[in-house]
Amino acid sequence: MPPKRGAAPAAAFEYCELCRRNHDQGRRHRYFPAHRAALAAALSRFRSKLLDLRRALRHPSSAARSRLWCPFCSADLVDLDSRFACSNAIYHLASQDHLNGMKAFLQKHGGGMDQVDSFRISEDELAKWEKCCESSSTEQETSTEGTACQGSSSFGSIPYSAPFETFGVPIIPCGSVALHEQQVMLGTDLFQSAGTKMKGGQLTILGNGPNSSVSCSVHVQQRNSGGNSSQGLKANVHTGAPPPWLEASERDQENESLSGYARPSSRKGKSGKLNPKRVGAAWAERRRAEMEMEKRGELVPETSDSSWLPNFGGVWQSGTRKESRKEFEKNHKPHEEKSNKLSLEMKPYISKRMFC
Amino acid sequence: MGSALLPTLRRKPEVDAAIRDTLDKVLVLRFGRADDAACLHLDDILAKSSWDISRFATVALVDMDSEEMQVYIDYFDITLVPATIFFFNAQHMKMDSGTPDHTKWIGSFSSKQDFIDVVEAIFRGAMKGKLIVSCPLPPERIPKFQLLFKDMTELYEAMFRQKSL
Repeated sequence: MPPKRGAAPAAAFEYCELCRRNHDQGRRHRYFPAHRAALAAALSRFRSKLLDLRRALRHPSSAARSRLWCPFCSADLVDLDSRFACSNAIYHLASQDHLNGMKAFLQKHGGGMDQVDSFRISEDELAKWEKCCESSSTEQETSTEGTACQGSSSFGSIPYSAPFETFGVPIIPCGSVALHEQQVMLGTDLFQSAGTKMKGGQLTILGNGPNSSVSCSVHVQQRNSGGNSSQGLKANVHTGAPPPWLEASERDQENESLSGYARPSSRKGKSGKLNPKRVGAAWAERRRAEMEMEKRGELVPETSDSSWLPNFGGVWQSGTRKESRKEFEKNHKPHEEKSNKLSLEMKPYISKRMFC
Repeated sequence: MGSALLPTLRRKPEVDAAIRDTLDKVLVLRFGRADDAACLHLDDILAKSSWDISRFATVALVDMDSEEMQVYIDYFDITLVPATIFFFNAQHMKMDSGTPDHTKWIGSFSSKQDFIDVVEAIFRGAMKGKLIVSCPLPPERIPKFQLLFKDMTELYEAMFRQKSL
């Protein structure tokens, strides 16, 4: 051991990019706690970025272009000219170079070869993504030929593209709206870039407005800004889609039996004074009746999560044991007699069959 | 601070329940994230005024980062944060404030009183059966928003492309 260590030092000073320091410990360095911590941090950071990327992979869109630093290949993956988000990064992660780079990296820094697959994109996924991209691009082309920049369906993208008079920058008309991805919110005309920070696929630009001195920031999400105008199928508030909070109660709305309950409850209390033509008056009365019933335990609240429990009634829900016993006896006595009779009638029949 | 004082909704059933069970009161939902500067300012205003408007409005915060909220974010087409959305008896209330988008209030309010005025206008409109109300604030106190590119290289690239076409 000692001669080896003696022979090495002159040549063996090397730079570890994870720990950002020069060391002469040779291959022992990768077992050091500091190095291991740095490696784990780098890998987890990359993994979280990869999660965002996988979202883009599943739903290819032309929005939210993000920059990705590949720590294995020391490459900055920026895509400026591609039509779909993160395409450069996706192609890189699926490539053989990336695989080789990753293997070399893991060999050099330790960290287990079993993780290789989690840091790259498989060919199947790539093929799927490409297929999605093709289909969506053909969709876009066909629909932009028709009504590309009509007001109603393209609410999300076009009205936002207000003229940049304040900046003296020429406007790009609706035809290239598909290129607009990042929406930035400013104060009216004074724009002081207080700071920018990149966070995954999100860009935050802080600008101070003249009046409110409130900094407003941007949430850039992966949205199909061009698609808004071209697809027209996206169900949202602008297209008059059914609201998500009513999805759960669609079944209830068809239930007419509740309307009878709604009437009496609406008379009493403060709702009697309210304008009967107010927004959602019918809803309020129906829902109030439902909530009352839920409180009394007559109606089981509609919940779809795993914490749902059935209504056991009786002592489990309300009242004393005695009450629940009486209730049980009242409900079950006639039924028992009936069943006894039935069983008596059944016996001879069974016996007949047995004899035959 | 504001986010600590107001209820924060993180799951879709919670938001559903809030919208459906707030009866004869305006429900103010703030979509945003607590670490955002503008959101913090808005949260502060909401928290301070929530008591004043408690007789006719309820305020709740919605955490945009949770996965379940994507349904609502897609539905309301939320791209700018903070976005404040108003409901009355499970109806989405709209406000014409001179901005391109009537479905939500984007950005913060310049003062507590402005927020109270807006909620009051919505409540009064809703009680008269109106689904859209006009903003009571003067235009200079309404935050304006515009579209801008992420960086200028993209803009120039787009311009160049258009010229070449």
